[in-house]
Amino acid sequence: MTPERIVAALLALAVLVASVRWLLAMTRGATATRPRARRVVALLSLQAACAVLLYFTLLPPARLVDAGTMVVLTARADRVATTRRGEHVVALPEAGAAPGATRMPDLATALRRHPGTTRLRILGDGLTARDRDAVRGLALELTPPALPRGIVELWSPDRMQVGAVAGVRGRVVGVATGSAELLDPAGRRVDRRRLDKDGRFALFGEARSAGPFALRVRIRDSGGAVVEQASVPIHADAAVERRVLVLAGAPSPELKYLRRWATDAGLSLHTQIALGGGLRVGDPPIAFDPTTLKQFDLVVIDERAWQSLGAAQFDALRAAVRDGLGVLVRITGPLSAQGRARLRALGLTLASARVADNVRLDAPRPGIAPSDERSGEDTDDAAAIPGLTRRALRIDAIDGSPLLRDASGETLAIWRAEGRGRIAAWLLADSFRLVLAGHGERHARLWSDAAATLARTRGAPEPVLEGDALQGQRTVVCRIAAGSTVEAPDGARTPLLVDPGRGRAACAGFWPTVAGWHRVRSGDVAWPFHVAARDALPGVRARQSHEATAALASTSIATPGTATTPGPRWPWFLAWLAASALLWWLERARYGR
Amino acid sequence: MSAALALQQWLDAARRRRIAIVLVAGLPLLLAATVAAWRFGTPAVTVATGIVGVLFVIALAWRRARALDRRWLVRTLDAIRVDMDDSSDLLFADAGALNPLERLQIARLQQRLADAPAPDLRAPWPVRTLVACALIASGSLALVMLWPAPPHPAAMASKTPGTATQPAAREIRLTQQRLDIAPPAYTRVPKRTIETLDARVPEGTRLRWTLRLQPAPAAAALVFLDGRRLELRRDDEDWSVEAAFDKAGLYRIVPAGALPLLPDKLHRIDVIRDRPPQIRVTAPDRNLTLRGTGQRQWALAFEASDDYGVAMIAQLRITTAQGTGENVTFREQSRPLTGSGAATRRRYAHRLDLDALGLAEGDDVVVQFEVRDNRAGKPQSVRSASYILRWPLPQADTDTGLEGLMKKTLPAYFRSQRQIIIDAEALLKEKPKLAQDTFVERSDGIGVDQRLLRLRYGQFLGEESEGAPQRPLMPTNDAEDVAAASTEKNTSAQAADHDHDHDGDGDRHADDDAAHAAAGDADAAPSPPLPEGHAHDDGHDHGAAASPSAGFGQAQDVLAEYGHTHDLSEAATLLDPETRTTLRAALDQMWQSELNLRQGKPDTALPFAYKALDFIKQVQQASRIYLARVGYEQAPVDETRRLTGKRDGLASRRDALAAAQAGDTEPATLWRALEARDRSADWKPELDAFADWLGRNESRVQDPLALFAAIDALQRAPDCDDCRRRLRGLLWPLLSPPPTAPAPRRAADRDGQAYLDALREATPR
Repeated sequence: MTPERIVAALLALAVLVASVRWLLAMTRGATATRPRARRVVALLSLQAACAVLLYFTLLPPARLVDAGTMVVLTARADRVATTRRGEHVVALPEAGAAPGATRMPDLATALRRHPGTTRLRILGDGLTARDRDAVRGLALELTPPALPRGIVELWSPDRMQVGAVAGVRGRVVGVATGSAELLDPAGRRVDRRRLDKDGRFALFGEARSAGPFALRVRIRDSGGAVVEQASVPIHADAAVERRVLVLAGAPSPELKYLRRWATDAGLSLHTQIALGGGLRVGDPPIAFDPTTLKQFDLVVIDERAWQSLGAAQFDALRAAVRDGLGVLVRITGPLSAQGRARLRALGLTLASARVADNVRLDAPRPGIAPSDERSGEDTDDAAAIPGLTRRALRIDAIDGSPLLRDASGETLAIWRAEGRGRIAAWLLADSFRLVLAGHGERHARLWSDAAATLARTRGAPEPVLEGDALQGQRTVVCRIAAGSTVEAPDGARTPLLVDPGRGRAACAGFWPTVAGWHRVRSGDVAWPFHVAARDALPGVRARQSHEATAALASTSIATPGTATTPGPRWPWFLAWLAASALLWWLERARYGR
Repeated sequence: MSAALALQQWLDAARRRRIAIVLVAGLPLLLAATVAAWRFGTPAVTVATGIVGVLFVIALAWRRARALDRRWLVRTLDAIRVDMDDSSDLLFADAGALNPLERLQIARLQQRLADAPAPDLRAPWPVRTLVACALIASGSLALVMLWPAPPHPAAMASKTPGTATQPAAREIRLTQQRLDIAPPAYTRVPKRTIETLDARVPEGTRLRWTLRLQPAPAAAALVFLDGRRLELRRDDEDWSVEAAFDKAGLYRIVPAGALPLLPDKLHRIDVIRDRPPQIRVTAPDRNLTLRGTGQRQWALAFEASDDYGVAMIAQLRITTAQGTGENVTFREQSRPLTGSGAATRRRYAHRLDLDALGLAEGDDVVVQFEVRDNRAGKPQSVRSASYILRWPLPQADTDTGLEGLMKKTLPAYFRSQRQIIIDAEALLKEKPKLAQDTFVERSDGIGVDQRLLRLRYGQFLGEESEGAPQRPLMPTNDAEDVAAASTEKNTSAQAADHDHDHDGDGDRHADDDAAHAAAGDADAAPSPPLPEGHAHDDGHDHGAAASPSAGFGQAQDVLAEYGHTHDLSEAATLLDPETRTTLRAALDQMWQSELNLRQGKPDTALPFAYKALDFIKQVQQASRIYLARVGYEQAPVDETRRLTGKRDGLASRRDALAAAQAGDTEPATLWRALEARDRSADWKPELDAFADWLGRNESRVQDPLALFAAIDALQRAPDCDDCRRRLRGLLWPLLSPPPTAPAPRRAADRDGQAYLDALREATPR
């Protein structure tokens, strides 16, 4: 029951009651004094007309009006064109000094105060997350200022493995020729690159120990003056225990360096290298059955061992893969029909291909060693990496994904999911040359990436953040367990309430008040995430705000022209007054008596 | 117009009353506001508040007074005087524009005003308002005056120097500080005085601290973190101490007694090391110069630079090597050179007169330049590389380019061969006097000498003595290898052990030792360019190779296990065939000589010994010999087993890998310990362990003082988060990262797993 209907009902009731009462009183009186019909009709109709007019005075009918345009000043609005006369100008809290503008705590309030608004002209960096929902359904036009000089994009992994190389990429505006430097936590420069013509840069730093640490990106202009410094927080994770089974039909240097890497990287390795004639070198023999395979996370097997697996062993392996085991088949020599058939049974089809058998891998790595700062600017890494060889084969898999590509994008290994496990075929023959040429780090990354993709899963899925976590802004953490809490750097704990509206995504909102490393704790499992300080990376925030607001502008339906608004009350009031006066006069007049 | 004048007076009186009311009400409030500003604000604020307040009160009074205008007067008169007939405005009307009736009324009004006593138009004193204002003002004043004083920086500053008035100081303050820096005179760095306590000074600088402490403690000292301690001496108000500095350090001022010094900061003295001078030789432009035809002089020039100064006199060391073959004689002499140019960069030049040195064909002149810097006490001296001028022998043209690799053949053993002959002849002379047993015994002793000598020459030929090639073999028998763990000498040990006589006699090691001794004796003889590397390297210990625990990836073992680090065969290959043959003939003769000597027949042995000496002489005359170089030598395949198809003794082998050793763990442990978010976490043991480690490994760290300072700061303020962060940052370069390990892959959630399972069921295979 809307207010309009209640008012209408009350008025109608009043008219009805009054009319009935009056008619009853009239019929009870003497016949001679009864008024004539025309008087009755006039009085009753005027009474009804009065009620109708009163209704419209109270609730005037909506009227189509010209759409009102509201100018909204946001952060750095003073950098763009000023407002025109006669516009509604409101200033949101982010806007600086704005003479002539009405201060509003947020956009929703402004819209409530100015109901006719259908278009928003936003000056400045754009709407913050707080105001974006309020725009819904309004036409929107953004006039942003140029992005501030400095870093406007910065991408870095927030989690990585110890010993891995973190790539920090970004874009700078307003610095035509300059350089980007990466500083380690001790303040030493570990990498330096020139900015390319778009102002982009990619820097590489190393995680030397487990735990949170912060690298710093420093942008210098061509004169060497520091333009901006930004902190890049990263959390390095310690290696988890993995069990790897290496099966090979013959010893080879590739195996030697693979085993060396695995052992040094803390993987628990079990090796069986056949020497022919039933002889083996390596660890003590194990039974190749489902029970044993269950203990391993990854099996690295070469084509000779692959072919020499017995039928029962192959079935055990296949069952183990479906149960979660990862298998990497290194194809370094000719493969028999049986070997191909087995691969085909696991969804990987081999076909010979006319490709060159020499390949070159990409090699991004820190440009300069910390010790020699003077030399080595922009070293040409790709040239230094040695050429490797591959089998001239093509792997086809309908649902396969590339596991390894060379510098030109050619696929060298493909994996696919088989049940809960994964299987991959690998054509690169001699990655060990990387180590020999001094690129041990690249070799380690090659194999750790492969092992990370293929090896059996460990642990429950981790929570994820939706978007960036920013101090003072709502952050959404998804995939959390019931009863999780967030632990702030200052030790404060906030319980997370799972939003039932998001269903099985299991998301919860959280408002971080302090910057730094937070942890989502559920039970004794802790998952770290970083909350950026409110004033960190102003250029990046400005760009994000531009983009989010521009996205709103592109999705908002521009409804030019009209909007409805309550019409003026005064004509209805005058009409009601006139009707009432007429009624009053008629009551006293002798007309129709 | 007396009426108008009277009216004006009344109006003025009313206005004055209003002004008075405003002032009486406003001034106390103004006073209160000003006092508050004086109490809590700066003087400028006080003055501004006063001025603004006074202006405001005046403006208010003026405004209120102006409100009483003519209209107000007319209304008030009309209101309070009935006899005005509501027409007092006529009093102010322009007389000219009035009609007679109005003029009459004016006259009546004026008359009435004049008759009646003057009306009091002044507003009454608003007593309640005034009292309220006064109360508010006095209340505020009381509040402001009684409010506790805020910590006023200016006031603090002005208070501290007045120590006499301070009843009891809670801390000692450093009111004056001065550091006089007097670098050693030789550096020519001017003396200076700085007002801070941190300095960067040249090595050997005398530093003098002059400090003033308030209040003065009983005693004070400069305490260095590394344990040094300098007691400050009191001289009236000043405390001072003087010391020379050779070593950088961190220190703090520590007063005796209970009062602490504030702020208790750590100061740093950095020492700039005096670098040794550097020599840049401009002439000759290469290390080996061949004498040009008819060249009489050799121009030498070099430049020496140093951070503080180079001594004026440099030494030119000249070594002449004259003669060839065995008969090379060396003469050394030294000449002073006088330099020119600035002290930090001197140039020296000299022309060497070759004739004066008596240089002849086949001779070498080797020069070296030696300069010293001017460091007081112990000058640092630096010698340049050697520069050689060679007057080549006509046939030695082909040698160019191989200078670094070859040396003249001057083995010491040749003398020993002669010695053997001498000994044998002496023995023969003594024969009649000696008993048969003694004679045979002594002959046998000479025979042993002969044998050792022969073994030495055998090494020269790269052959393992007794003829049969006993090269190291690849391990071919796994059964033996497996059993090797329990036995002392396994296959690989045998393979690596390049023992020269494989007859397995028990005194093998003893013989070896004796051989070394002999070689050592020979070395002692004055014949400098011995193939010494050979003689000494031979003694490497083969025990390591025999160790069964040799793991994979231990580099030093690999060579010993599979290679033959004894590089003599390579030396042998560098002998030209002719020399080889001659040497082999010498060996044969030695063999015969030894045979006879050991049988007690020195007379039969002597001819062979002479022949051997002869051959050796030929070798000596013949040529040069090349120094051995270390190289990898593949063990040969055991041809006796090859392609036989026999698999006896073969078995599977264990091949366990050992993980590489990571660096020291102390920095990483501390890094992790400091990361702990919870303040109560105890990282002190780790900090102590690291401090210990740092003390031992100071030279491995780029800036140990910064680390020491950070540790000290953290130890003093364990709750300081910034100190922790700083120390953690400094630790970063000391951490040694392991190779990249694979990131863990997280299990799919329930939906994902169901999807994967469904996928598998949907594709029947």
